[in-house]
Amino acid sequence: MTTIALFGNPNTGKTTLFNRLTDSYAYMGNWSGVTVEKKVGMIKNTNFAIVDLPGIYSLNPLTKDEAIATNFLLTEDQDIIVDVANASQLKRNLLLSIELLEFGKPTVIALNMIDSLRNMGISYNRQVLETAFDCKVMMTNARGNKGTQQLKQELLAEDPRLPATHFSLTYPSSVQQAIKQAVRGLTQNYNVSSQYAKWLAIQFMNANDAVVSFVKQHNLRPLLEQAPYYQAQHFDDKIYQTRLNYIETTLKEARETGSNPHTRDITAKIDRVVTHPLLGLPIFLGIFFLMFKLTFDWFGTPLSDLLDAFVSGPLSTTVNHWLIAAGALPFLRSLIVDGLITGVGGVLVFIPQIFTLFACISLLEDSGYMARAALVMDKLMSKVGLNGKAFIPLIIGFGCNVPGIMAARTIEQPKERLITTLISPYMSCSARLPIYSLFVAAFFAKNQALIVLSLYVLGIVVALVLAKIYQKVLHSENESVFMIELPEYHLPQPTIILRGTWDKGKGFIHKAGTVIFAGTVLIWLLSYFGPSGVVSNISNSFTALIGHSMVPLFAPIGLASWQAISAMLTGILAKETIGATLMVLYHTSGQTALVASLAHLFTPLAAYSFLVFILLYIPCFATIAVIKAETGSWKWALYTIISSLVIAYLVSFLIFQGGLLLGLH
Amino acid sequence: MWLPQLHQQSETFHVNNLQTLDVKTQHRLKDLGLTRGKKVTIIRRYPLHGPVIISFDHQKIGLRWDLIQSLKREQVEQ
Repeated sequence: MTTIALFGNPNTGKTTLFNRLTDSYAYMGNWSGVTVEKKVGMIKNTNFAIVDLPGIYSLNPLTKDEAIATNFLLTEDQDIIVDVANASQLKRNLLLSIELLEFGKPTVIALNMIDSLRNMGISYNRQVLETAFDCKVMMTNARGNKGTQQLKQELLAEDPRLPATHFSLTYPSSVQQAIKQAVRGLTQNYNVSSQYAKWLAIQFMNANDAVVSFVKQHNLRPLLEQAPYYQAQHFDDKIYQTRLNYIETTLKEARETGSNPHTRDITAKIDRVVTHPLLGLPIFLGIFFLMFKLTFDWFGTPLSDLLDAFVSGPLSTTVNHWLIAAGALPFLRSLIVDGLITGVGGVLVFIPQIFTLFACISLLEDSGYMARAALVMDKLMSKVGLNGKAFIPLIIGFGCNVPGIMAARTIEQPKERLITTLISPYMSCSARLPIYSLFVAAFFAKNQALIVLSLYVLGIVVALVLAKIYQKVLHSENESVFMIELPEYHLPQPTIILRGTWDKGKGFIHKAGTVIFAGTVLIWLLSYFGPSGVVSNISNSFTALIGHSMVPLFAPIGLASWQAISAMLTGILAKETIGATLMVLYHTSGQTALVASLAHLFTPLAAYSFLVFILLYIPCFATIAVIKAETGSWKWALYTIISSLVIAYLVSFLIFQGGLLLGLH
Repeated sequence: MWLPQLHQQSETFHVNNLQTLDVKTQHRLKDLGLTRGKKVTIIRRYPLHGPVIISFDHQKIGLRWDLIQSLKREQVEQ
């Protein structure tokens, strides 16, 4: 098998290219740090594997996702390196190219986003670049799918004859001398090739953290002994300057006047409005309000209602008739009709709402607005010791907390990353949406979008307050730096939006078939049986027993219904299960019927208190697992479970009791 | 003090020295191509010392106000 590794600066379109080359679709977006984990795909009908890596500026990693890329180069085998460079920012992108070329593997440089460069009225002579960097240079526009097939052909055709590069830059003589000496020492005593020894020496002189620890680990004395000398002579500065000069000279030589620039600078025009000093924040909030309007009022909810009418009406009755006609046991019939159709079906009817929300998030990601949102929010986030970049994981968390927490890898400071991970579960994910929908329909029919928005805002407020507390406890202040690239806007592409929506949404459907299915069966069994066997009245069932025993505990936050308490317990499996459980427990056939029965069991205040509790209490299993994985300890996972439970109880208590004092009910 | 910021004039300055910044910040600025002597244009400032958008080498970067101040302060001292 031949392995091709995609390296390149952040947001140069590596993942788009990956998708074009492998005919698959990985997660894409238009901001730095979309890819935080390596992904492997195959070129169709070949034995070529392509590895998509997180974006890096240089081989010296600053963040956790960047370290993944550098470590891949250090420890894993790759046959070909494809360096994806943003054609309109070559000066900066080629700095990384040089580091990769010095590594000596067969390398292809793909000048991606070549269309933006042409729009600027610039073009580069390919021959000059190929000679200067001693490797194949290809022009691509992955988004518009131009030049990508040629690149694929190049990779397939040339291998295994794609020649290794012999690129070698002449550094100032003191550096050159030191490299020679180090290479001699390394090749004589440590059995490494002279090419690799040279690369290692240059990276070591350049104070690459990953390489320094690699050298220490292998005790490569020729380098370790010289380290103080390299440092005193500022070799890193000399290396950087030599590279930069070489790039500038080469680009000057390769530059040709292209067609007339026709920069209709749309990005600048949009930015004049959306990054406006005063209007930026209101616009940001406006975009979110629009998202909720679309999801709850204009598009998602009407479709969900139609689907619900079908599931609870025709589908449920027809299946029931069939089962009676087929002579199915009452037990089985109840399991299928009252358990599965009601529970799993009751969750699946929320597909339109959840997919609408995901489509909106995908649209924001693909357009390039995310980086602007991070910028606009930076001032606010700095008040709680975080930076604007932490806002991107939080927004993704609105879709699902799991990828949200993983997106926190792009944050530079470890403490800020930890804090972002810990506050992410308070972002109201889409799985909590079904239960909100049910309750706002029952109690707040007139202000549905507003009430749901208030829950989202409450989640953010709780998260920010906690962040402030963590900042004090963990002493993360004064460390924070904030730097974010503002990419060119892209006209969102329908195929990318559709794929993005599907990628996020398919998890929901998958869950409906697994965790929610299992949860529903479990709760149905527990409510069909009681200590005395099959029960005719659900109040004697196991579920009722468990729920009842906890009623006193939850009375202070306004919860008097044992059904709601049982539903919360199953919600730890997956938040969608809460709605499914309520359907099963109330023996209702659909949303409308449940809404009607709920209205008798809660007061509006108690209902809101319940929703707040659902928003804040223990995250689902998947989120707990990812917190463990990202922090590397069960301690933080356990901490999250306990703290969220305490906070949820406290906030609901304040809202319910406070509301009562104010005379609400 | 808010109104004048509505019509902002773009303003340019040269980065003179990065040595006063911490290592990580220097590292990242270098990665972005922000080196000594680089001519930088400020295209957007947010009120109350909020973030600043600068542009150089056909790219736009958002940075914090105090970082910009320290990049500029060096210039005055030398």
